[in-house]
Amino acid sequence: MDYPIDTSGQFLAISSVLTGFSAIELQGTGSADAIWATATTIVGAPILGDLLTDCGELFEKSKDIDALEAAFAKRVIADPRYGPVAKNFIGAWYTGVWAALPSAWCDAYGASGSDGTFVISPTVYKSGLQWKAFGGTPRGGVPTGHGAWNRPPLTPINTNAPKP
Amino acid sequence: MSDPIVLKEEYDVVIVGAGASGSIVAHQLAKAGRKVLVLEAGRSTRDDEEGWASNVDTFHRAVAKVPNSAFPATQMAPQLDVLQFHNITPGVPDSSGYAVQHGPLPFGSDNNRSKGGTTLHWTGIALRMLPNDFRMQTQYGVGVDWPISYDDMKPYYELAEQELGVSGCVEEYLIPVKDKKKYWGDYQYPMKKMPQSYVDLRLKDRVDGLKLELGGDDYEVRVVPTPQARNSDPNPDYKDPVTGKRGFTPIGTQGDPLRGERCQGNSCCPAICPSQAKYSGLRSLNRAIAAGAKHGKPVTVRCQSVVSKVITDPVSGRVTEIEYITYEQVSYPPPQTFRVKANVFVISAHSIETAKLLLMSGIGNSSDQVGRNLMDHPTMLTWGLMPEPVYPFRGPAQTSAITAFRDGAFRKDMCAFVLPIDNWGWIWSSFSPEAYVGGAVGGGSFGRKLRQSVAHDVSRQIALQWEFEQLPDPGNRVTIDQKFLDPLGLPRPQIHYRVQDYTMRSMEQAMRLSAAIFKKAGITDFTRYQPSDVVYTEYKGNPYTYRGCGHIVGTHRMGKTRVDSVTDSWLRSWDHQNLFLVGCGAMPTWGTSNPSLTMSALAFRAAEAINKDLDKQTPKPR
Repeated sequence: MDYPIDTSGQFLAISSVLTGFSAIELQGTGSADAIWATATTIVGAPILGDLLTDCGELFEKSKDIDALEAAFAKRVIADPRYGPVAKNFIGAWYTGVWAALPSAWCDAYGASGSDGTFVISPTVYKSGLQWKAFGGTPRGGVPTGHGAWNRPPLTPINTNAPKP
Repeated sequence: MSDPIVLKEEYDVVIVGAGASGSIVAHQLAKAGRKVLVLEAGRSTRDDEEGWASNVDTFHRAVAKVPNSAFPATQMAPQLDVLQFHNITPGVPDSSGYAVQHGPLPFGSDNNRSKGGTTLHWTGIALRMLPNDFRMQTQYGVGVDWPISYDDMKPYYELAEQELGVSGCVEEYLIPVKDKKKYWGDYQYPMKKMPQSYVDLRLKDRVDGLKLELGGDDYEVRVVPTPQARNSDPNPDYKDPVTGKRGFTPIGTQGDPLRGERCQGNSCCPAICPSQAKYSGLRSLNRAIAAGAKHGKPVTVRCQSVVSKVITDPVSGRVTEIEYITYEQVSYPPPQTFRVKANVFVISAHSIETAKLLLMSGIGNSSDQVGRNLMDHPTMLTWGLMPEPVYPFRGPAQTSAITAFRDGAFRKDMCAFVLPIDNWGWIWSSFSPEAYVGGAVGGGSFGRKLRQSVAHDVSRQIALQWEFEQLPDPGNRVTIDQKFLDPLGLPRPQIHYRVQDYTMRSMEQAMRLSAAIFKKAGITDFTRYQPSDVVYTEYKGNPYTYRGCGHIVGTHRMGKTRVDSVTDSWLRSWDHQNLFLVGCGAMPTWGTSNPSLTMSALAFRAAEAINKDLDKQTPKPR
C-alpha cells in the first residue's frame, strides 16, 4: 500500500516516545503499518505530515529522553491539533482500538466518514502493549501454555511505581 | 406468512434448542437408536479449526468484549446481551434491548441463541449443589424443597462430569458439607485439578485461616481449587461410572482429533475458548451426530429454525406437532413455516425462551408457575490493589474460590454465597486493562510514565466475586405481550425482576467480610458503587452494585406435585406426558452452584425417562 508519507522510522520513533516502548519493541508487534494506515485515512496527510516534521525538530533539539518527553508533553500532547491524534496513537498501540476523535477536534479540522471507535484488526489487538506492559496475555490470542499461569511471567516486568 | 408445510418425515423425538441440555439429551437418545430432529433458532456454529478461528476473530473485532461477542445473534433470532441492560426508571419499562425489562431492577444476564447455546460462552465452572441446597424449606424454612435429593442426583452428576470433562480435586475442594465421605463416596474427577493461578496462590498465602463471623458462627477462609469443565491432565485414578474402567480421555478441538488440548490459558473463557479445551454443547451435539450415524438413524440438526408453537391434542393432552419458522439472513426468500410430528418433544431453549414458548403456545401451565421464579446469582464485586504484583490476566477466568459461605445456619435469615477469585484483575468491575489505559492517556499520561504505571497498577489488580443465592420468587418472571414482537412476529420476553431482602442482607454482610479479607491480605480497597453503574441499588441507605452472573435459572421448575410445579422430577410436563422441559429452568432452588453441571445432570435424567417412555410405546425387538 502506498501512503502519502514515508513512514520509515519516523512513525516508530514518535510512537516510541509516546508509548514508552523502544522502536524495536514496537516494530516487533507488526502493528505499525496498520495503525499508520488507519490514521492516514482518518486524520489525513497534511496534519500527519506536519506532526512528523514538528516531531523531527523536537528530536533534533532534545538532548536526552527526559528532554524529549518534556518537549512532547508541551508541543504534542497539549497541542490542540496534535494532542488527540497522538493520544489515539497511544490508545491504538496499547489496546488495538482506534477511538473516535473528539468533537472539538472534528469541528476544527473536519471529521472523516471513516472515523469511529473500532478494533483496527485482531492482530493489532493481540499485539497490544497494554499486555506487554504488565506481563498479561491478550484475551484469546497468546496463551501462556498449560499451567504457566501459576507463576510470574517468564519475561521479568519492572512493576515498581513510576517516578512522579 | 404462507401456510405451514407439514414435514413428511416423522421423528421419535424433536428437540427444541441445540445447547448443552438439548445436545446431551440428543446424544443419549441417539445412542438408543432414536430418530432425532434438533431445531435451533440461531445460526449453525462452525467448530472446525478454521471456522473456530474465524469465531475468535469475531471476538477480537468487538470493541466491547462481552460474553456474546464471538457469537452475535442473527437479526431474526435476537438474544439477551449484557450491552443492552440499563437501570430502569420506575414505571417505564426498558424496551431498548431484546427483552423488555420491567424491573424494578434489570435482569443482568445474557444467553446465546446459536448451535452450542450459552455454553459457547460460559466460564466453565462445574460445581455440584450441596445436600442442603435441595432441601431449603425443610432445613432453613425458606424457598422450596426439590422433589429429589442430592443422593438421587449423585449418579447423574457423575455422568455429567464425564460428559463435560471436569477437572478437579475432591480432597482439595473444601465445602461446608458435614459428611464428606457420603457426599463424594470414593469419587475422583475425570481430570486433575486446574492449576491455581499466581493471583490465587498469593492471596491464599495471605488470607488462608482467617476466621470470619456470620450469623453468630465462625467460618474459616480457604482459597481452594474450583472444579471446572476445562481439560487439564487426565486422572488415571478416575473410574468411568458406566464401564468401571480407569482413566479418562479428554476431548479437545472438534475439527482435529489430534489437537485435543489441555487448557492453554487463553484468558478468554466467558467469550470463546480458542483451544476448545473448555466444554461446550457442541461436543455433546457432535457425539449425538456420531451416535446417530453409527445406528443408521442420523441425528438431524436444523438451524435458523425458530419454534413458534407447540400444538397439543385437546383430548389426550399429548403434544402432536411443533411449528417452526425458518429464515434466511437476507430478505429473500421470506421466512417459511413448517410443522413436524414426533412421539416425544423436548424443549431445551434455556430458561427464558422455554418459558416464552410455553406461554406463546398456551400450554403446560395449569400450575401457573411457567415463567415464574426466575433467578440469577446477583454478583457483587469488590476490588483493590495487592501489595505485590500478582500478574492477573493470565490463565482461565477462575481457578479458585472461597467456599466457606456456601452453606451454614445463617441461611435461615440470609442467602448463601461463594467467592470466586477473579484471575483477570478489574476486568469486570472497570473494563481493565483497556479502561485503565484510556483513563491514564486521557489524563495526559504517556511514554515511560504510562508504561510504568500500567506495569505497577494492573499487575496488582485483584477482584473478589461475591455470587449470591436467590430464592424462588413468583414475582420474578418472564411473560409475553403481543405489543412487543421480534422480527419474525413472535413475542419478545418481558422480564420482571427484583432482588429480595434475603439476598440483600448477605450483600450487606459481604461489605464487612470483604473489608476483613482485604485488611488481612493488605489489599488497598478501590471498590466504589455509583448510581451510573448497571445494576445499582440501595439497601438500608447504602449503595450496592451487582451484575448478572449469566446464570439464568427457574421459569419451569420441577416439583413433587402438579399444583406448584411445571414438571415432575424427570422433567416431564405434568400437563403433557410426552413433553419434556430440559434446562436450567427446571431447578427449584440452586444454592451457590453455577447451574450448568446440575442442568447437565438433569438432562441425563430426562433422557433416561424419555428412553423408558419410548420403550413402553414401542417395545424393542428381541
